[in-house]
Amino acid sequence: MSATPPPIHQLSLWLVSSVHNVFDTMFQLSTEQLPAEEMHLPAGETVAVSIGFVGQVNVEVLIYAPSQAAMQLASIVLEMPAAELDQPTVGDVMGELGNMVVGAVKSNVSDLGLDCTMTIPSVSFVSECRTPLHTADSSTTLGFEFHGGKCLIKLVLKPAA
Amino acid sequence: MDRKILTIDDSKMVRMIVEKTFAPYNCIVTAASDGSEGVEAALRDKPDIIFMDITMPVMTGLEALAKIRQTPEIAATPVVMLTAESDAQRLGAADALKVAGYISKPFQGDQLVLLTHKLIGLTRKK
Ligand SMILES: [Mg+2]
Repeated sequence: MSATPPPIHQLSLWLVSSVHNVFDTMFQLSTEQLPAEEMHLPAGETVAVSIGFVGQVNVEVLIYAPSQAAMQLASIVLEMPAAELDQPTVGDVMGELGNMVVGAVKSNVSDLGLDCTMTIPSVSFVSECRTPLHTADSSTTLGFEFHGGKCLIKLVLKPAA
Repeated sequence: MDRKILTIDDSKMVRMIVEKTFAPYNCIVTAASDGSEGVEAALRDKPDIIFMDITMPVMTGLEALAKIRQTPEIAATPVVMLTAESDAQRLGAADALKVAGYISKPFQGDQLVLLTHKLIGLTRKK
């Protein structure tokens, strides 16, 4: 029997609410959702996180944030001056942020009776963000702004393996 | 006497938050970054309480918890799951392995302190 995954619209509603909750609880920052097409990440080094869940529903979430903004988030949550943070530590903070954001979406999907397992976040530093900003049946890109930074989050619903 | 707290999480951020959270209390916090290292650390340090993530490389938190429950020297250690997964299936699996508590990420340090105080008692450093 093949399970029907929730539509991308439902997944993205869960994702948005989770982003607000994670930023508020971990970083004491309020976030505003903006149309991704209108949002341009500043040029320059960008942190890219890939995280998701696999099983009866397969989802990949890609998070892009300028390194500067990521460093600011790490500095808040670790209560350390940004100058003392090394790249692996900033990457770890962004990976765990991704884990928390996607964990809530996965939990909602699992509570529909669809068995899935979270993946381990993979983090890289790229010279700039290049993600196609289209919305389709199987993917959508969301923009968020918070004090001192912006990020883009792309949600991709993948076909069953 | 100092309480011994073990944090098992693949995120350095979470391990650092746990360490900072308990710094004002009479505690010694040790850390491990996957389930397998965590079981070894538990056997070595005999913690009074463990905070355990679920999704980790090498050995997941639920596998590590099962291993702890099967190991007589540490089987009775209170284990609190600290995880981004809060669905009924995961909660049920953790319950079956006699977890002492469940804290969903995102979290605040206060939640850890309150639960730890309730389970094993904490005193502030003078
Ligand atoms: Mg983890």
